[in-house]
Amino acid sequence: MNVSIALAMTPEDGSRAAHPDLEDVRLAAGGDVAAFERLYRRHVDRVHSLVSRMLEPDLADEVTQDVFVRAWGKLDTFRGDSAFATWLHRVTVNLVLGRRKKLGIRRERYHPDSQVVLDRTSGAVPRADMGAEFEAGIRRLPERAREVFVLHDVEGFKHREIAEMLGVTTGTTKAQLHRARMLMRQYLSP
Amino acid sequence: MIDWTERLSDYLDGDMSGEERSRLEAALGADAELRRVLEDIREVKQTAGSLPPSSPRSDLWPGIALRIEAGEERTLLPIRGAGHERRRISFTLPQLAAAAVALMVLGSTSVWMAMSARAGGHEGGSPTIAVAPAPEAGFVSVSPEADPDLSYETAIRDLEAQLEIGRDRLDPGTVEALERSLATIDRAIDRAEEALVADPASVYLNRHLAEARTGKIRVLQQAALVASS
Repeated sequence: MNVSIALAMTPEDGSRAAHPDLEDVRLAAGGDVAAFERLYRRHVDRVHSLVSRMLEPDLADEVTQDVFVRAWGKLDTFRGDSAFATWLHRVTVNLVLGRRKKLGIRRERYHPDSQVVLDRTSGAVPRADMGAEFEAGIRRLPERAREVFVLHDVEGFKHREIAEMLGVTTGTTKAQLHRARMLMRQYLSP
Repeated sequence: MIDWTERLSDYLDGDMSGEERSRLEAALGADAELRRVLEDIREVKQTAGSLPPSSPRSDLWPGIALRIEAGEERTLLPIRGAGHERRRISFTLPQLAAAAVALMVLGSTSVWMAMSARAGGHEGGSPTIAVAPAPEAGFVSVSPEADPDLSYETAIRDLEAQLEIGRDRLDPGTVEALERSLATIDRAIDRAEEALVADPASVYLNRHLAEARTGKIRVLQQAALVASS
């Protein structure tokens, strides 16, 4: 495999900087399994988190493994015009969306007037439990709202990138993001 | 009349023109409830951005290494025949897995895997060790008090001996891939053993070690099976 690596651009801030991933990507693309293992070690938690939040926690280990196997097979398509982390996240999102389709998880259409309520036992959430409650709230979001919320607010993708990945317009992703935030607000309110 | 609540995310994310922004800020100045909603969704956004990453329940690398070495969906194992004519045998992973289970009834491999499974460390529905019911033949009886480390070493020695006998029948490329796989797994085993010195009671580390050892046994089983065919 021949991979030309340019400077990296991170999705969050758009800055260009060299990154230790680049050398390992080059080596791994040439068949160096140890270099790919280093990439795995650096990125496994973020991939696992993304899968867990976009799919279901029970499937996260299995799908995370699938992501890295697929990434290994597609390394020669990494052109280096984005950070490896961004590329890997795209591989992850595509695989998650494909898996969701395969599992037959229905996508709901977005209706601005639909009344979705995230049930939770009432009462203020203690600060110590906020992380767990927040994660539970994410899992209860409607699918589209959940996807956009995770990709934008948790992972830092921009609306343009999310719209491209999901095959929708930025108007839709913005509407879904606001819907998700309002539902999370409602879920976390005392 | 504009429902400014619906525009709060755009305002928060800086996706609003100067004029709209000024009008919304005027509305915020006059509406305490609107300000409260804005602060709430600002907190939701900030919390989402600071969530800690989650880790897999066990190290996934041994399984990934095996799959990428196996070429995932289809594994081609070139074998040198007795008459030095070359033939290629193609296995799918399910076939290899089935073959591995069949081989599992032989020798002390089954004993170590059964002991590892009994030893626990596989909570949370993470079945990574599949132990086939042992037929009567070839199952070595070991008392429950037997040392799992010792049984594992015995299993590895048995498999390596089987592999050594048929090694000449394997294509050099296969041998090279096999050795790379084993080196990767050995590194994972070494790391787990080193970490266990500092934290011997860790369920996570013990499970990681058991999975890495299982991975090594499976690779050796597959290779030994092909080498002996």
